[in-house]
Amino acid sequence: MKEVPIVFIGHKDHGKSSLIARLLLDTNSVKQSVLKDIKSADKEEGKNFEIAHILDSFKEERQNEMTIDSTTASIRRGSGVYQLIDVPGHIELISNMLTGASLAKAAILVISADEGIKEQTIKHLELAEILGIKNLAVAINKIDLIGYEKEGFLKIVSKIKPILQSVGFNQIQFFPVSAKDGSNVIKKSKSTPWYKGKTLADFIFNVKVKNLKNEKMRFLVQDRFAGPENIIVGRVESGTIKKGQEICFFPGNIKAKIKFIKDFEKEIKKASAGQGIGIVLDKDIIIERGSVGFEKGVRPTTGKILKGKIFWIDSAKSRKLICECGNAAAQGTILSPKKPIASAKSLYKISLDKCIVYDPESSGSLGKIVLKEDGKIIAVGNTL
Amino acid sequence: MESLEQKSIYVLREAKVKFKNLAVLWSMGKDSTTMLYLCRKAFFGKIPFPAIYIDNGADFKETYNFRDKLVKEWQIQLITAKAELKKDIISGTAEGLNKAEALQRVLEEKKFDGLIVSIRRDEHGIRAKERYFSPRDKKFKWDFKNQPAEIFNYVSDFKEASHVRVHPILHWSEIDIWRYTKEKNVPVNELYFSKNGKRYRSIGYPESTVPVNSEAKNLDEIIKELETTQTTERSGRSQDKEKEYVMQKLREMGYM
Repeated sequence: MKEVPIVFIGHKDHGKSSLIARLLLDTNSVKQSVLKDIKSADKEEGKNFEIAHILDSFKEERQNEMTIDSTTASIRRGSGVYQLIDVPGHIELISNMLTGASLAKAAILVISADEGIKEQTIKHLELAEILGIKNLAVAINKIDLIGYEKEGFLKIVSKIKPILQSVGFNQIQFFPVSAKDGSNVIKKSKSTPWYKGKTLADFIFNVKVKNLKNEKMRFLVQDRFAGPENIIVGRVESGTIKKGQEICFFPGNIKAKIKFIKDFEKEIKKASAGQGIGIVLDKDIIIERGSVGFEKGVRPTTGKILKGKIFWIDSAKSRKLICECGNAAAQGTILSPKKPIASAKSLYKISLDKCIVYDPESSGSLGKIVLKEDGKIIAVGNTL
Repeated sequence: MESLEQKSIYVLREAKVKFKNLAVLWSMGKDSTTMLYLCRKAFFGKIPFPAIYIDNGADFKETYNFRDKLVKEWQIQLITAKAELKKDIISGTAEGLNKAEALQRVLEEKKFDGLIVSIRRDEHGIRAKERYFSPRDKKFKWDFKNQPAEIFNYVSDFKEASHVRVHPILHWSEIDIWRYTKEKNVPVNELYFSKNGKRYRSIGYPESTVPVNSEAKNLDEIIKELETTQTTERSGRSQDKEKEYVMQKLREMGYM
C-alpha cells in the first residue's frame, strides 16, 4: 500500500476544507452516519450544513466558519491511500499550518476565483518550498462565482505563474474547480466547455512519491538499548543497510561492521528506507542518539555552521537557540539575520556548539532543521 | 501496512527517549492490544513500561479473561486504576469522566509524564485534530486551541505539561487494525466476533455498549464487513451518540 500525503494550502476562506470535503464526498469516502451526525449537530446549533464541516470538527470551527487546526482525511483507491491534509489559512495559525504541511509530499494551492491572490496564497507557497514540497498544482476554486468564465480563470493563472516561478515552481498545472458543485474535481464540468484539461482528482491520484530506497544509505540513531549486547536503535532514512556491511558514524568518524540486524524477535539480512531496526556492531562502542550511519565513502555533510532558508513562526527573544536536525540537537547562536521577524522567511546562518550531520540533498529530515526557544519550535528551515 | 507500523514504532521509540516515566493505556480492545503488540516489536519482545487498565469492576467477563491470558503470555506489568461506577448513569458521559478521574489519580500517584493512548484519526472528527505528542496541562486539560507545532519529526519540549499523551496509531484506520491483527496474528477479545447474529465493534462496559448486527465470525469476515459498512465504529457507544461535541468536551477534560 502506498501512502500519498497531499496538503491543501492557500488563503483563508478560499475553500481548502470544502475542496477536500468535495473529494471525500464524490469518492464515497465519508460514511453516511458521519454525515448524518454532522447535519444534526449543525441543525441543533442553528447553523446551515457546510461540507467543510466534515473536516472542521471543532464546535468553534463550525461557529466561525474557519479551520483552526490541521486534520487529515483519507481516500483509498487501488493500492494507494491518499491522505488529504487540511490546514488553516489564517496567519495567526501558521504553526498549525506547518504541522499539517510538513507531512506532505505534494501540495494543492487553492485560490478563490473571486478574490484572487492574497497574502497567505504567497506565504503558503513560500512555506511549501522551504518544507521541500516539489510537486504542486493550483486549484482555482469557486469558479461558479465568476460565472465559469475562462477570462477570469486565465487572469489568475497569468498572475500566479510568475510568482510560482520566482518561488521555484515550474511547469505547474491549473484546474478551474468548484468545491460547491464539484466542477472538475472528480468529474469534468459541462459549465466549463472551454477547459480541455484533466480533473483535480486525476492529478491527485497520479502523484508519485519518491522512493528513498534508491538514495544514499543514511541510518539515523534514535536510542541505545543496553543488554547482553548493545543494540543501536534507529531508522533507515534512505538507502539500504545490510548485515556484514562496514558502517561509519558521524560525528566521531567511528567505523565498525554490522554483526546483525534485529527486527522484533528475529534477525534480518537487510533493511531499507523507512524501516526502524536495531543493529549490533562487531565492536562494543557507544553510538549516541543523533549520530548518523552511512556507507564508507558515501559520507553526509557534517559541521558546526548551518545555513539555508528559514521561516520564523515567532521572532526569537535571544540569539541562543536549540537547533535540531534529524535526531541531533545542539546549542546554536544565530549569526544572521540580525533581527528575525515573526511570520516571515529569511536566509539564516547559525553557529553550533558541536558538529551535527545534515544533508542538503536529503528529502528526509536531514535536509530540514527546526529552532527551539524555551522548548518551543519557533522556526523551520532547510539546509544548503 | 508496513509504513503504518514503522511510523508507530518510530513514535514509540521517540516517546521512550523523551519521557522519564512512560506507561501505555490498555483496555483489552483491538486498538490498545495492537498497540501492545507494536510496543513489543519496538522494544524487541518485552515492553519496558507498565500498562494501565482502568477498571470499573463491571467489564465483560470475556474482557477480564482476555486480560489475564495476555498479561501472562506477554509478561505485561499491569497497573489497575480503579474507577467508580456510578449507578445513575444514563448516558456514557459519566463513564468517560469516571475513567478520566481514575486515570488522573494513577498518573499523579505514579508520576507518569508520558501516556501512550491508542486513539485514531478516523474514529471521530475531534480525534482527527490530535497530534502524535499532545500535552495536557496541570489540570489535565487539553488546550486544543493552542496545540504546539509538530513539524516533520520535531516536537516541542512540553515544559508546562502535567503529562503528554502519545498517539502512535493516530494515522491508522479501523480496517488497518483488523488487517494488521490478521497479518501478525495479534490476539483478539472474542466479543468482536459474531454470536447469534451480533458482535461488538467497539467495546466499552456492558451497560454503555450495544453490539451491532453482524454475521462476521472471524477476522476475514470482519474485514469484509468493514469494506462496505456505512455506520461508524463507535455507533454502539452511548457517550458519542448523545451529541457531536460531547467528545470535544470529554477530551478537553482529560478523557481518552
